[in-house]
Amino acid sequence: MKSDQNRYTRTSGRIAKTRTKLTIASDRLDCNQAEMTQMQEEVVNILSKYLNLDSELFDIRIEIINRTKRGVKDVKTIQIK
Amino acid sequence: MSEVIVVTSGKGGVGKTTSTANIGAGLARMNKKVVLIDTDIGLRNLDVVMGLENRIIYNLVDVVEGNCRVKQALIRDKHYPGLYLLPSAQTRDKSAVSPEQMIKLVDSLTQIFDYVVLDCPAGIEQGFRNATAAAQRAIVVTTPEVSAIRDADRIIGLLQAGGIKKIDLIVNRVRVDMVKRGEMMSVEDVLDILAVNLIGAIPDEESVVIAANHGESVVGSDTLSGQAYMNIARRITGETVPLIDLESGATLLHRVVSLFRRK
Repeated sequence: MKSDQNRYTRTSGRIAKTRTKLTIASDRLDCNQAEMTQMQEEVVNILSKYLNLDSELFDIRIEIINRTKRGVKDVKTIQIK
Repeated sequence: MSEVIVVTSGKGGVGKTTSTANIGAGLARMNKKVVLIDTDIGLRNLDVVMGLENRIIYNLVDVVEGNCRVKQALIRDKHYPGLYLLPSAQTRDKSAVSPEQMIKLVDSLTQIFDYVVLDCPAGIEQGFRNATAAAQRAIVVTTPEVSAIRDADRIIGLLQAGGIKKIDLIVNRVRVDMVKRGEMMSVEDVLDILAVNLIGAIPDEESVVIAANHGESVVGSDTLSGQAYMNIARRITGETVPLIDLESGATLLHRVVSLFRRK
């Protein structure tokens, strides 16, 4: 996860885009942002249990891929890169 | 064949009413018969934006309640003979009209007009349900701000769940100078997040405010925003019109092309 230290080096347009994406993902999944952050951390922990990972070199993002199915409540596809 | 379009956004103050008025004027310039319906009962505004506020006798609720015939409530625009407004009621509230009554009203208007454009109130309550009930397609207005995009996403979901197949997006109030500096999300950023078809982007220009002050549309004026709204109207009718490069304004090529297009 990008931390607050980047807040000053990144432009506000980038920050806005990241915040919008996170907010929308959180709205659609009905899962608050603190839980999403926690989920990302846990995913990293699990991955590093099995793989030799350098935490500086990768980034976990939650994106909703199945856009055409929006509005249908039971279809929620999450891709973790 | 007539088309029923709802202009909506979720969030208030992003330019639904201004967009409705300008789309209406744009379609009327193309010699279409257009009626704009203000569905914001209790907070009517479209009449003021169009400069028709002192011609109102009957309103939407009067028509629905049978106090007058539809044609008695329609107000002809000052400039375009094919453009009409059905104003909203100022002293009533949203519960005065039901979705079924809206469908019936819109049905009667499709007999007369090529386009019925509904100006939706902000929010997702009954006013939204009334406005969207009769629509076949929707135009969602947003601005490059976190709050407006979030609400637009929610609205798009609700429209899809409501069975509206064709949903297009207007990104309003784009400030090219700020986008260049990286201090505002670009139109591409917004599209990347919302993944719907872009029908036009409107630059944040003084001319839009000035036109609204006078109760006029920007469509037809020699401004970038006026051109952008005119292009949206043409895209609504099915024409393929390239997007204006907001940065350079209307390019030389664009001007030459539009010169030839004017028959």
